[in-house]
Amino acid sequence: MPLHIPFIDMPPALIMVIGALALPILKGRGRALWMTALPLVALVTLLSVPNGTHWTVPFLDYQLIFGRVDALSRVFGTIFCIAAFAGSIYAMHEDDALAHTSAMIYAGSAVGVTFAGDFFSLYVFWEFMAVASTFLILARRTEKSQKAAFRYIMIHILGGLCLMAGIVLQIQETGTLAFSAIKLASPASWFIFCGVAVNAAVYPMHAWLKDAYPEATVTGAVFLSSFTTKSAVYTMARIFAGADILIPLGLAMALIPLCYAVIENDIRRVLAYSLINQVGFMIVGIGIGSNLALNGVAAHAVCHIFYKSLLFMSAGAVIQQTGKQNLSELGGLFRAMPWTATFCIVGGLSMSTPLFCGFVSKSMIISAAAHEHLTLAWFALQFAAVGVFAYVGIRVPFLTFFHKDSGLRPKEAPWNMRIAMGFTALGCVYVGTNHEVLYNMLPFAADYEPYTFGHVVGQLQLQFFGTLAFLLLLAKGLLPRLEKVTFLDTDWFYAGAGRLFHWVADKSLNGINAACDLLLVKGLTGRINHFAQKAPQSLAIALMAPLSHLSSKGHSDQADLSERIKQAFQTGTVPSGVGAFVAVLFIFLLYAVRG
Amino acid sequence: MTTKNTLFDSPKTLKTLIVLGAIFLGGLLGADFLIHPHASFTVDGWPEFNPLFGFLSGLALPVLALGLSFLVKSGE
Repeated sequence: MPLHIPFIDMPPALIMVIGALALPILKGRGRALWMTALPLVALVTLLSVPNGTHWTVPFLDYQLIFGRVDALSRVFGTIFCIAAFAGSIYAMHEDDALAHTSAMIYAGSAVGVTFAGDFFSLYVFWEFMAVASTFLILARRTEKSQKAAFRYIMIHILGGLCLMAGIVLQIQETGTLAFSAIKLASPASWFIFCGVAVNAAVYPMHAWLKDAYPEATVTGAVFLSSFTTKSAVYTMARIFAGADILIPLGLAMALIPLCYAVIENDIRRVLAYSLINQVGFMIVGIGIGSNLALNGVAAHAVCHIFYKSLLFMSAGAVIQQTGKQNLSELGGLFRAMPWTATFCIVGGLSMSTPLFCGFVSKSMIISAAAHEHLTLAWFALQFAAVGVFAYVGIRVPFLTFFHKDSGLRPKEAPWNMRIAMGFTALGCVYVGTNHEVLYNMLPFAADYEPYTFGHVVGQLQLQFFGTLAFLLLLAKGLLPRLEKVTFLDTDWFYAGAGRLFHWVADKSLNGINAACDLLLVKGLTGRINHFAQKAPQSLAIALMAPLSHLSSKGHSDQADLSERIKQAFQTGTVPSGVGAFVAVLFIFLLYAVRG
Repeated sequence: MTTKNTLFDSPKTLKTLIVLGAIFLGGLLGADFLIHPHASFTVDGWPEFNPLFGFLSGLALPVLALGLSFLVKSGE
């Protein structure tokens, strides 16, 4: 039964979202305490709720479900609350109500997505997430972050519109709001798929992530790394488990961004690319769709949140303390920031080394590919696992804290940041050494043992010989040089498509406008105007000329008459006799025509 | 600013680490002869497949990345 303490008996998501509204009016330690308490209260609530449907609200002819609690939603909800708690400790030293409030609304909305039992509440929390997370980028208050935030919200609005279109079509087709598995066949399912794929950074809709995360605040990037992609992975697993198309898309995510991670210089952009790479593993797992693969997806989401947020935390600490974020400007920081260096190394090792969390989760997905005889996928995932370990897990801590001494001697990160990093590092090691705790939470009965002698040795061989190759190439100076340049990604195509759209719209719509102007305003209207001005005088001249001729006046008199009539019409001083004559003649002609 | 020497500043420590690393890698190579590796496919059951695959992957990735960088590098 749900807890019946009045102020707690509400969905975990609303505890965080509504609780976040009090953050702007709190100050100092009060705000910090409130911010860390909210995810804990939400966590206690969700752990105390049994599996089933809770917190239903009637809406029109439907029931909105804010608490669809089962093994899958519980494991994601739990890790979201833990991540929000760690992120709140990490952000304690900041005095930024905007960042704190938006972070908590964002985290709460991610929890809301996780426990949504219908498409309507899913969509509402989905959009809350998009808007709240945008403020985490804006909160850095630089021109670059503003532009990045604009691009971020635009792509998420597009994704949200796709999702909404899909949901509306789905309701029309099925008459139900149920947020459950859908076969990827109808237009509705494709719209929903595209909407979710944007948030999951599925290739080629991934570029927003590497664009936005490095521009967020130091603390904001930690929150961002935990929620958007993982809530989309949850949604994808809930709706599209077993969809074959996800396997090649996930492999593209695992492989292509990895190459970018090798050549990128910005430390958080490297981490952003490796984040896409790891989400690629999860997308492949969803595509495989077997029990082992889906267990692997849920387990890897948990582990990835632990170690990726740890890496973003340590990178953020370095950026905050040194003011530098390019790897080429860093180095030798272990002297000044030994705690941060240690935590960063733990984060790197946690990607797939035995005794750390990534080892017990990633190998489930790779093994699931082997069990399904997906040979190519297995090789690609092994390659990606080796590459991300050597070129992100080892390279990032190595270039940042060791390697060449950059001469930077900053202070160690603030105490709250170190506590947050220590807590997260502890999580990485705890899950890595007590994998049964994680496995007991998974959606299906876990019949998988990662700590066999063959598996441990095999993984160590793969990773450390990959690392040997990296170190040899580094020593020989054969690695791609880290430069302060921009690398074009698929966002170039979005931008290109945007420019093309602008050009087409400019040329077509403005062209039609110009043609209309020429034809109607300057052409037809001008001619009518000209006709209206000239016709009466021409008609008068034509009528008066024979009269003038009858009165035996010469050509010079006729020319003189024409000139006088023209002037009279232009100046509006037509003799009343002429006017009356023309009018009579006009009436006569009209009568004759009608007759 | 003065810099205090740390453990990793000592060349002796670095040398020790390199030696330990070499022993570790040698041990990993030797372990292949002691254990019967679980093979998912035929090829990964070959002796020393994992070290070779890992090493070649570590070499291939920067080559691929370098190739990509020529294609996607833009201005500063």
